[in-house]
Amino acid sequence: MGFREALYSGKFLITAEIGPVKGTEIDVLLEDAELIKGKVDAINVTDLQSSVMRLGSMAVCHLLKDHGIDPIFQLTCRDRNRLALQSDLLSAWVLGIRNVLALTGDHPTMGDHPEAMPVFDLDSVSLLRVICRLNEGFDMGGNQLKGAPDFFPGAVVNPGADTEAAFEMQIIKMEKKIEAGARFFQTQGIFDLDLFERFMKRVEGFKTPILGGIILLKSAGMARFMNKNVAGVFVPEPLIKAMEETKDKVKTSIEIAARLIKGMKDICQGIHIMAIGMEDKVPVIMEKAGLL
Amino acid sequence: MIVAEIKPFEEIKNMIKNYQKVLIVGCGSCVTVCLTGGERQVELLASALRMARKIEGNDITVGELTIRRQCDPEFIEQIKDEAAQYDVILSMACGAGVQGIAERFKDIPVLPAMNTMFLGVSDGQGTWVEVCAACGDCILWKTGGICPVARCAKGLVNGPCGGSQGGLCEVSKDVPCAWQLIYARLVRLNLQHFLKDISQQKKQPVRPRRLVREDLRLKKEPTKGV
Amino acid sequence: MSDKAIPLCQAACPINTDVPGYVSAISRGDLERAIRIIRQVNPFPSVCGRICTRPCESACRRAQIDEPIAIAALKRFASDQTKGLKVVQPPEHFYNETHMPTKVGTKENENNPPSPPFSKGGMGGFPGEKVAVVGSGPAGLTAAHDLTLLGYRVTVFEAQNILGGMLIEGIPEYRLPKDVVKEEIDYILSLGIEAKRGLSLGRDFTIEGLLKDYQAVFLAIGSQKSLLPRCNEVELTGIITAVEFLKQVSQGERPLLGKRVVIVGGGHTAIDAARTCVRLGSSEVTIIYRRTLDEMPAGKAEVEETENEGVKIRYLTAPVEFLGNGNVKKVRCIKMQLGELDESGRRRPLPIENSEFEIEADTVILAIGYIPEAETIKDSGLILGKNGTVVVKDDTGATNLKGVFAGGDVVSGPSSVIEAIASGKKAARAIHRYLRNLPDEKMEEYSAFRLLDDGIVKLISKSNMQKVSTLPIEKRINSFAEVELGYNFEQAVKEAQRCLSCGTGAVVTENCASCLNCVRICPYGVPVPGREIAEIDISQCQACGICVSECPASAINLKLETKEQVRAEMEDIINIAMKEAQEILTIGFYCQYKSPAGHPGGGNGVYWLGKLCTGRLDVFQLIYPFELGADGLVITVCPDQECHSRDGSRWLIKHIEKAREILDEIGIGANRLSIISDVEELSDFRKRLLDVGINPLRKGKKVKE
Ligand code: SF4
Ligand code: SF4
Ligand code: SF4
Ligand code: SF4
Repeated sequence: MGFREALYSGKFLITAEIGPVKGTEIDVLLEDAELIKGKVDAINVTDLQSSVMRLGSMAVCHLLKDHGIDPIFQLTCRDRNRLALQSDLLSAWVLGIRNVLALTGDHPTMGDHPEAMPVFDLDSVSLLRVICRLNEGFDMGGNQLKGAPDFFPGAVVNPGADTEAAFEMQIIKMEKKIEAGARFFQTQGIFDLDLFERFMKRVEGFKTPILGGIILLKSAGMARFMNKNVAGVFVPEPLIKAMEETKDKVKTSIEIAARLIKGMKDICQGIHIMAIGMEDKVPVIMEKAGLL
Repeated sequence: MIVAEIKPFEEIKNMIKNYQKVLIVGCGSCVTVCLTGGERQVELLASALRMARKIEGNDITVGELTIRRQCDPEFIEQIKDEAAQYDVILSMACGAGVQGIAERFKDIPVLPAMNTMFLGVSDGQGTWVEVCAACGDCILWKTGGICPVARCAKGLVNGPCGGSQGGLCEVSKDVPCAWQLIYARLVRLNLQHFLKDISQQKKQPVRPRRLVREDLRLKKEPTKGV
Repeated sequence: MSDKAIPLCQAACPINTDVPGYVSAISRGDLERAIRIIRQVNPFPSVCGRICTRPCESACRRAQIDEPIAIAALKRFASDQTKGLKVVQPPEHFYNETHMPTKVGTKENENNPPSPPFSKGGMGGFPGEKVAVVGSGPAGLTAAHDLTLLGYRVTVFEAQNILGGMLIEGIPEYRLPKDVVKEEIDYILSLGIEAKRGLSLGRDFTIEGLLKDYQAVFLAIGSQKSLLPRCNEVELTGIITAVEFLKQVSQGERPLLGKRVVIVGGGHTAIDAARTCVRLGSSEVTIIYRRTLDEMPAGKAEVEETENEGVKIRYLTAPVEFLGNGNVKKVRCIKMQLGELDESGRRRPLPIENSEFEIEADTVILAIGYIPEAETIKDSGLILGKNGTVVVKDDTGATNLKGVFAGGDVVSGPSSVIEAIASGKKAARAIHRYLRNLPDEKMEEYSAFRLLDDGIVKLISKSNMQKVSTLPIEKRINSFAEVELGYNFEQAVKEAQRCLSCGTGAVVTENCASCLNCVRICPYGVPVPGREIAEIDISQCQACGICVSECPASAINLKLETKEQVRAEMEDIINIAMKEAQEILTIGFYCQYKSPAGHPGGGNGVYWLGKLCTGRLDVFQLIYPFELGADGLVITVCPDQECHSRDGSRWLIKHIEKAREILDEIGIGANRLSIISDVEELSDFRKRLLDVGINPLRKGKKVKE
């Protein structure tokens, strides 16, 4: 059962995320994928995450497909203009890739080639539109395609935006993304279930499945760093404390994730686990969360 | 106005190293207004170059002139006699001015003393900020008079990227997120509904752009290059 | 509007003296420039510096902040200190057709060498034409002075054997020493004026007669006939008029007054007479005046000094009768009260019934009013007004007789010295136009600046007037030594530095690019964006010069010191230094507000340039000395809170940082430019400079070849 089918089946969705390496050694990546194969509904492959140059998302998605995993192809607007974006989408389709997550993307200055030209010819909303248009058999210029794809497009939303303006604009943009064709959302990492629940109430009427983001904590330091530097992520103080005081960081981190997942079961339609190097722990977490 | 800054002194010195007679031409418009290329700066640069070259034992003659605008040939024409007496012209105008002079005096190399930066406005004492990208397709009417093309690091036209923190842009952490400003302004103007419209993606203009107003021309022949 | 507007002090001065011009020269220690500016309009600087009624000081805007500038005392200082300096100034203000007082204190103005007629002792211009001046008081001599400089041959007729009129006879020595007057008159005469003494109008010559030999006559015979009170027994012995009394004393006589003297009147003459009595040894001197202190023509300060010397003043008191038998014994007085306003704008004093009382008196001196001596001119055909004053057509002084002009007290009735001088100047101008057949002209009317805005007043730090030291009271009795001692150098400079230099500030030229930088940085918020270019209201500008050094278009000029002046000054000093300095040549800029007495020292080989606030130095001025060949440059920077011009120090530090950056870039080295706060730091700097060596621009050349 692919991701799209799982979604329409109404089951509690589970996705995970892997980031390609900088280079060509893909063994570890594939091993990790192998570990979670069958336990998740799909795996996201990031697109030069944090603007760091590395192996491309499309190639890795293709490999996952070959390994029997349904990939979600993350596609950002940072590096490609509308020609390249559309062409890459068609390429992905012929390589068997079915799900696309449309993102604006980080600015190149955040990565390891800060002088790179930021393209942003399109943004996430217009990219979603383009995907739907391709599905209909036309490109952006209105030209007919010989053979059309049938992507399942998704997008991201950040429920933890810190100012009222930023929060309101997230909601507005979410609506726009739905209007432009987004069929599911994955969120930024959630640590405060009450806040998340409030957000979910607010967007109830949108009737689009939302997968709550789970980030595995590695240390208290990482939690603090995210609080300070990652927009929309807020790790509450008790969790930081727990990470600080524990003897077994991995164990505590797994416990926290499992607890959050359990809580989310009643709030949203699925989870999206960002293991960030702890991909091998995903099965344990799922077990603890009662998902296996 | 066009905002420009003076190039590093070393770079300027290097550009003119093979010349003995340099005419520095300031511009009395934008770059005077942004305090970088007017009469005062011409005087300072001239003195600095004279001294630097004298120390190297390679004296130069430096002429100093500031004209009203370097982007109009008629003003440039006014200095043709002076220009003829120099090996090279160092323009303290924006890139448009440099090219304006280069186009008039085709036999004299014209060098830029400035790096042209952006179209901006004053933000108080000694500060200028970029506010317009000259995109050729203005959308300010639906963004509360705040341009996301120029003022959002990513030039997003359909709302924020979601990366802002505390109202500041995720890219330059000391700059307000343009979309936060737009939101606040539209709310204030009671025009929030614009936020919900999906904006057409911007079109890239074909460069070089030109503006030909046939209603302002009697000549029939097509316009030339510069 | 601001074109014709001038500083309040200048506008209040009857001869529109360029006060900020000379005061600012004094504030920089440049007394020669100061006296040149003063002499441009005033041939009696030492006299006016002492006894002027100082309308300028009453108008001075500094009073909005604390106290007015002691303008007269500064004039006296400049004049006394430059004795012997022959500055013959063309009488600019009234003759130069294009002259505008806005040219205050510029070099161009002050260095004008006298053009030919002036330099030839008055014998140049129109030697065939002669003017007779009757009367040698301030009005007469001023007219003679100006006419001579214009090239006419002038003869002054004086009834007395000594020149000076009221200056000599009316004003006592302790206020205005005779030799000061004499020196000033000698100076005027030295321009080539003929003086005929002891010749009295009406007795020895007539106006009609003069007109045969002279092409014009200026009548300035004063107003010296005393009015007498309408009282009984005014002819008793022991009752004299103040004019007569002061005249006797001025001629060296020492009339016997007795112990008790009563003076009737409240004007300057009454006060002068009273203080003279004190000096002649009378122990009970009483002034009776029918109004109150507020109405007194004599200033409050003067009244205070008088009381300090022991004189009693009884206000609201008038004489009714003098009692005595041959000699006066008592004055019967009556108390007064103030009623309705009279035609002079003061409240009319009215006697209070049954309030009479008596004061004992050995001598009574009458000083209640003066009128011209009309007998001398009653047959001249001149139209006379009531009280015997000469009626003139307008303020040019032209009378009903062709070629005859009149001015001074004979026209106005008793007035001040400065009014007399003004009237002499106007007459000279009118006579010149008459003789040259020039059309009548309208005198330029200047309006005065408006007051400082409250917002600006708050930003200016307070500093009170420098006190002029005076002779101790005990030394004044039995002595005619001058009471006011005048300023010393440091006091004068400090006092001059209090001046707000009104009207010497910033002027925007058409070069303005409307960048509005000035609008953003002026510490006083004076510049405003105009419709086209920036506008600076010169009446509010504090002349700090900050905008001048920041304007990117170099479009602002400071009247106080032009860019050309600044550059020339610097070139001069470096030229001198290049000739004299040994090896290492250091230029120093110091703040003249911080060091009013002169540069901070630091030994030979430092060439100092004083600046009224070093904050005025722009980046160019900080690198230009090196281009001219200086090896080192030091600048005194005052602590921010002490900076005379708000923000001056802070901008200066920015400029220094920028200049150091440039010096590094061009290879001269930032270490040649340094801020110093005292002489010790200077000597450290100079030691370091020896290691750094001479300016690479000079390449091995010694300063002295
Ligand atoms: S944070 Fe705001 S201004 Fe910065 S890139 Fe994102 S949307 Fe643009
Ligand atoms: S402050 Fe100076 S310029 Fe201003 S009114 Fe007083 S004396 Fe005149
Ligand atoms: S600083 Fe100069 S150019 Fe700018 S507005 Fe003022 S006067 Fe004009
Ligand atoms: S900055 Fe100074 S000189 Fe300029 S306008 Fe203001 S007070 Fe006057």
